[in-house]
Amino acid sequence: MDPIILKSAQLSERAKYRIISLYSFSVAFAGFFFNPPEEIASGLWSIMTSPSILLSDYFIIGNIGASLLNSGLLMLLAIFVASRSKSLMNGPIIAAVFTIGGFALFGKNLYNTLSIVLGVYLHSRMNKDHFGKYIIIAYFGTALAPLVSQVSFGFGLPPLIGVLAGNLFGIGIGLLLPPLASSFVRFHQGFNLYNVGFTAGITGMLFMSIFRTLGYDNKGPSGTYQEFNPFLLGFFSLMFISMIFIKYRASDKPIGYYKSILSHPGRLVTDFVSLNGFGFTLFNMGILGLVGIIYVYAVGGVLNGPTIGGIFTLVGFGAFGKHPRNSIPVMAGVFLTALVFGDGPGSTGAILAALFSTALAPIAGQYGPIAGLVAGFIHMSIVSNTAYLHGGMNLYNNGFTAGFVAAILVPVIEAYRKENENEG
Amino acid sequence: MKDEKSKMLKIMNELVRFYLKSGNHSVRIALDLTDHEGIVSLEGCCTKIDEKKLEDLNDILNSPRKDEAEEYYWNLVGSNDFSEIHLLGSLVNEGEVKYDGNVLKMRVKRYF
Repeated sequence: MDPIILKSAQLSERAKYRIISLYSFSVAFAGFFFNPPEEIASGLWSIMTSPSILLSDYFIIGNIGASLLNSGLLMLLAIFVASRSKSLMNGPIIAAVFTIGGFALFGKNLYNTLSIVLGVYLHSRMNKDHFGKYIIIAYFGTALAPLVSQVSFGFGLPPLIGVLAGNLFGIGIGLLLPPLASSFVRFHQGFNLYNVGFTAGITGMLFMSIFRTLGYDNKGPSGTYQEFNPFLLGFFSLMFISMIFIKYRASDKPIGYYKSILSHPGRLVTDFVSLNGFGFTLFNMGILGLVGIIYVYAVGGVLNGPTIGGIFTLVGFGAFGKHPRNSIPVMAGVFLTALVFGDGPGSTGAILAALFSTALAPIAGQYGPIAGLVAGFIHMSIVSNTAYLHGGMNLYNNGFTAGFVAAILVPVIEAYRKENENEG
Repeated sequence: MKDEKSKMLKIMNELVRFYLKSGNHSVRIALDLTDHEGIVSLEGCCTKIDEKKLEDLNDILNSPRKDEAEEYYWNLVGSNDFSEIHLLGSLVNEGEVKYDGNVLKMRVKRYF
């Protein structure tokens, strides 16, 4: 990395691309510390030919090395396409890259994501627009990647027909998503940060209903990795700590400036890179990463594909709306609900609900921590009922749920709130 | 040109919202559309308005367009009770904000 560029308070686009690429490369490269190349190759093959429906831990289906390589490569590919589309390395792109990387540990892979991105690309060409306008939808739209894998490998179709049909479905999804994502954002008024998660949930529900009508259904989830792995803990902790320290090279503003990030409600569209600069955005991402790791271990969980995926999504959205002040109250709501009414906060499902419930961070940011706690409670109550609707085809099940929670809570809060101000 | 008229309407709504939230309940609006661009001009009386807020608005309106945010989020602009001023910057190419202590004038332009 070029230290001269890093000394500048205003980093160049090239430097931002380099830094995010370096993190992506480190994830891919780390894979080789966990497994030898031949195991990684066979693991990658297992991952790419698995149905990948929610919840498929690639640490179990393949192995840790193959999962990390899959994750890093997908992140690098996303960065490369963003660069070719002349997109700025801003909050939405950083959020998308880290979300792709996270879900590449439990559902997305090099095979099942490409046809969806191709479908969105075809949509952009049909509208005579450049792909950069739709790149966010394309990236988050890969939430439906399991649909491609499930049709290809999970329904027992002849291999060639399965692969052909799976990819045609992927392209079809890519064609459908742009108008739907743009329309559904009004449903939750920007209070669900995982807007495509909601869109993908509706789309997945449509396709799953059709599949069930035709006599096809999905098998249940596979198991998750449950061992304590100190190397995973060390690697990801180091990654997030480095993000915190890069702030000191990338921004000359004092640490107190972090309050400026913490003061944003975080509702869509809050791009911290544009509003507060790249250095403090990385700082916020690093803090959120550590919050995620501490939470997982504090409730008795372990780092596995899905939980690291949840932490990566938290970190990515640290550039696009989330910060500790608006995220922790919602996580606390999920934690308390799981503790009092559920099977305890330490199960993988409850941990994922806590990490991904932060899609509702804008509710805590806009209306305060009590509203955040209530949002967490409702989220935890609804989330276990939504996966059946799309049969695990939508990886962003928490985003799907968060759309309903926001759509229910926000109008109610607004109705009983004094007409004072929504920041204008 | 697809959706351009809808986008211009939403930009107009967001700017009118800014006037209303600034305590101004009388706004004159002009909307001009050609094949290549849309211009919204607004004028109204504001007796008390935070000039820092106007400076920020001017910066936002003149920040570079952000295509990647536009297609995904433009439906949020001017459509609910919440300010989407930051998002407005992603949709417009240039803007002008003038305030003389009484009259607030704005003119924003979007190229199609």
